[in-house]
Amino acid sequence: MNAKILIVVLLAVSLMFVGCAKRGGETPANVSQNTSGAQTAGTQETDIGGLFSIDTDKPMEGTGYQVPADGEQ
Amino acid sequence: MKNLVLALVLLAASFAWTNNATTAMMNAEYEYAACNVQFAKDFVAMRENCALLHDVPMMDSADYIADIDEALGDVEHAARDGNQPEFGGAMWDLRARMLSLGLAVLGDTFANKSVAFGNCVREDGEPIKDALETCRHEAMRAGKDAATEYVGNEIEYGNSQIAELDAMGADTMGMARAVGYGEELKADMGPAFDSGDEKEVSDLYQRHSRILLLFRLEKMISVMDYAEPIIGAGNNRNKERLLEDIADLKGDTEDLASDCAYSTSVDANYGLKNLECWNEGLALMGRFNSLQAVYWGGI
Repeated sequence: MNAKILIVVLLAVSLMFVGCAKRGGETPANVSQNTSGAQTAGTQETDIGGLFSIDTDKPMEGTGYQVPADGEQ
Repeated sequence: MKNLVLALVLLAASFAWTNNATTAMMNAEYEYAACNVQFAKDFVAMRENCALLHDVPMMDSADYIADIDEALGDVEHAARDGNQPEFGGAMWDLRARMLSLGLAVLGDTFANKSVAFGNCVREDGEPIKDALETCRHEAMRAGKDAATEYVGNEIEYGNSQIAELDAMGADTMGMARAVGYGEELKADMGPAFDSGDEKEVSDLYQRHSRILLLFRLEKMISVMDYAEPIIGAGNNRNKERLLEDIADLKGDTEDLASDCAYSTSVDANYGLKNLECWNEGLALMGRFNSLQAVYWGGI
């Protein structure tokens, strides 16, 4: 019984290593494609997506201080 | 995985920065408006007393006052909740109702009134005007503190955005110039609020509006300048579209920044120009933010 559990655990650990190795193998390939011509550009490219974000709220208008149009006060 | 990243980015974008002094700004404006409303109510009550005393006909102002009280309540509610769009709408509504009362009083001034009535209104009106000035002075003092904190927070936030882009190697000169305008504005706040002149304070808001727009336009330009060569050298599947969109948007943003150049001198057209600049600016900001989806779609 214990041997079966050990085999399942070892199998699971093996699969994890295979998965990590697969991902690890893809990453350098992507980076090398991205960085064709510029070593740092590929690293930076992964960071710039979030830069395309700007606040769109409008500023306070100060309506309360605006001079009445007819000077009623 | 790609969708998860996009969702996280959009989620992060939805938590936009908010200025901690916004509620204090709105409360100060509310206090100032409340002074004007109290003056209007006291003035109307005083006219009614004079009319009774000198036996002249008097307009019925009950509905006007009820409308104004309701509108002021909406302003107070929005200020307390820190709801900026609702506050702006409620304040415009209050102004319209105050204007309506003012015009009605003006019309009534010439409706069968005696010289004695006119003298009564003039004499009894003086202490009411004094009370208005005292009330406004207090509200202006609160307004100065809130506005100074508000702009100080914005400068701090602006500088933090500059530092982030600087650290990446982007050109942030335009952003720094806009922050410099903000520093100048902050220095002008004390004298303007202390003067008690509505026009001077209102001018500060107009200048602030222009500076904030310019800062955002300059930030967009900095980001696009920085990102363009990186995307060009990279491998994003939407690269061609991104580069085309960025080139178009950068040109349009530079044109608008130039057209909406900052000036400390606020003339009669400044407010209208701000409105035009913001309308066009918000459209550009929308185009800028949409680049993010195109970018992540190509990863």
